[in-house]
Amino acid sequence: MFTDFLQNCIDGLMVGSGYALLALGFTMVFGVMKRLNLSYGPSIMLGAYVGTWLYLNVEQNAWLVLFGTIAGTIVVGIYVERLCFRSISRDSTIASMVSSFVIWMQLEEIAMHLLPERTYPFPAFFTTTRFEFGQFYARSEHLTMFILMLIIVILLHFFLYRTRPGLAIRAVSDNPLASLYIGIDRSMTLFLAFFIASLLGGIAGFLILSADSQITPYFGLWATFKGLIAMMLGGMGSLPGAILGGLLLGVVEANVFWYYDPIMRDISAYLLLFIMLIFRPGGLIGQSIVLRHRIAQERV
Amino acid sequence: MLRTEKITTFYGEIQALNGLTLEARKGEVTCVLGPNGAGKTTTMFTIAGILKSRSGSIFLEDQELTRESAQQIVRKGIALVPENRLIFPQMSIKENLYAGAFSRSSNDPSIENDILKMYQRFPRLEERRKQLAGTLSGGEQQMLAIARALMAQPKILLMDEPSLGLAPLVVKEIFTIIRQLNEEGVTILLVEQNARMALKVAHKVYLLEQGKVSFSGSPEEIHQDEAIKRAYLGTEIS
Repeated sequence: MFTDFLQNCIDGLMVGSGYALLALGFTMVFGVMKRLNLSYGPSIMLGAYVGTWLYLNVEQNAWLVLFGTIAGTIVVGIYVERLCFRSISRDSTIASMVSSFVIWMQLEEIAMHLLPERTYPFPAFFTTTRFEFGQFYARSEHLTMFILMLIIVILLHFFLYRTRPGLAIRAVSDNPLASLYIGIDRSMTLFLAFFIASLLGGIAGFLILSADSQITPYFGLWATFKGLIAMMLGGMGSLPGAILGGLLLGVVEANVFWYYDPIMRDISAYLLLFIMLIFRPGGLIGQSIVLRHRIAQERV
Repeated sequence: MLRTEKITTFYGEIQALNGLTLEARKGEVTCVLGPNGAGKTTTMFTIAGILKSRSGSIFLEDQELTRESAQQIVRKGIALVPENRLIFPQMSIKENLYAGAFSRSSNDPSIENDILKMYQRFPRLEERRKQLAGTLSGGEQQMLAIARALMAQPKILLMDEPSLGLAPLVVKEIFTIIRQLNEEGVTILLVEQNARMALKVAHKVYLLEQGKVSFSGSPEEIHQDEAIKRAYLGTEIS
């Protein structure tokens, strides 16, 4: 009984690391712009379709697919940034969100014209093997995803806290107006945040799809939902929150899947978010930030 | 040092500045006084390049800044201490100071040294250097905002209502800092509603009304003008 639970938690952490990567991309963009990019998932989906297209038409090479996916996601990400965010005024949060939804539809159409069938294979770097640790086991793709997530988080932390562009990103997300006063180029910083989010998304998309070994146009919807839920569980705009939210979502889903009913897996995610929003509207990490912010504003 | 010539700034169709001309001389404290809505903050924003003026021009030491972007203007040597302080609440005090030096080259070795200088000037910031800036009191946040602006090594410091929302004792402290900075040679353009405190540190005063300068002169001249004195300082002062 208890070993089952631990095994579910291991599975959940592995799958959750994929959610965490998606949530990191969401939170980067949200932190800097305070606007939601709904077409984040679909832009990853289209990037992955570019990867699959290369796999089917050029060469059956996982590296090529990885680079195709990342490059495709970045190009689509820049397209979304230009159309939905840069060209729309900063105050029109809703306009940006709605236009990112419109772009979502457009991206799905493009993907279906590029590869018209429902399902296509998606390659992985290695064939699935089982790693066993005593009573527990993990799949190789999941283990790769988990380890890569940890490496990416460390690199991202280094970038944000030790480099100059990282400082600019943090300054803009902390206080957009003040960042102007100290001479930060805000639109360049927004672009950079979008670029990094797309890079993260491309890697996340490749890892998740490799583990599934197939791709459908629904991946866009799936990625946006999972990423959004994980981000909101952790706290909007918080990097540690995105990681925690992603892992928590993975663990809860895995346990519901095992103990209750496979069908309930997705519903449990929405229920978890619902409970979180009622009791801790700021999310796991965001709550303290919400409170701290309030204190900072009240103290004069 | 800094001159604006007949600048006009609009918010959409609403005109906030209507041909404003003023000058801040090197080594002096120049003070802009005026009621709410006179265009004081707009003046600051226009000089800092955050708002663009439709006509007229702005010069810093004979270099024209009128069409430059906000980040270019910081690099040319104008730093703003904004109204309501606007520090980075979720960064530590030290990080706020680093961010203040953003316009300087990142491998400038003197940045660390300048941070130590700020700690000497504001010992309370050193005590709390690892604390998040959002946890500071209002007066400490104002000191941090001043220190952050100084980290850009400005030729002229713009200060937008530094006394706003602070307790009287803290206001006194802030004005002592302003006087000290000025004695060390920092040129300051100060916008204030607290006319009484401002007149004590100012060398030259501009009164703003509806986006225009309605009076300019030394603090002594203001004290001689009964009508202005009544309007800005209240009647109980003689």
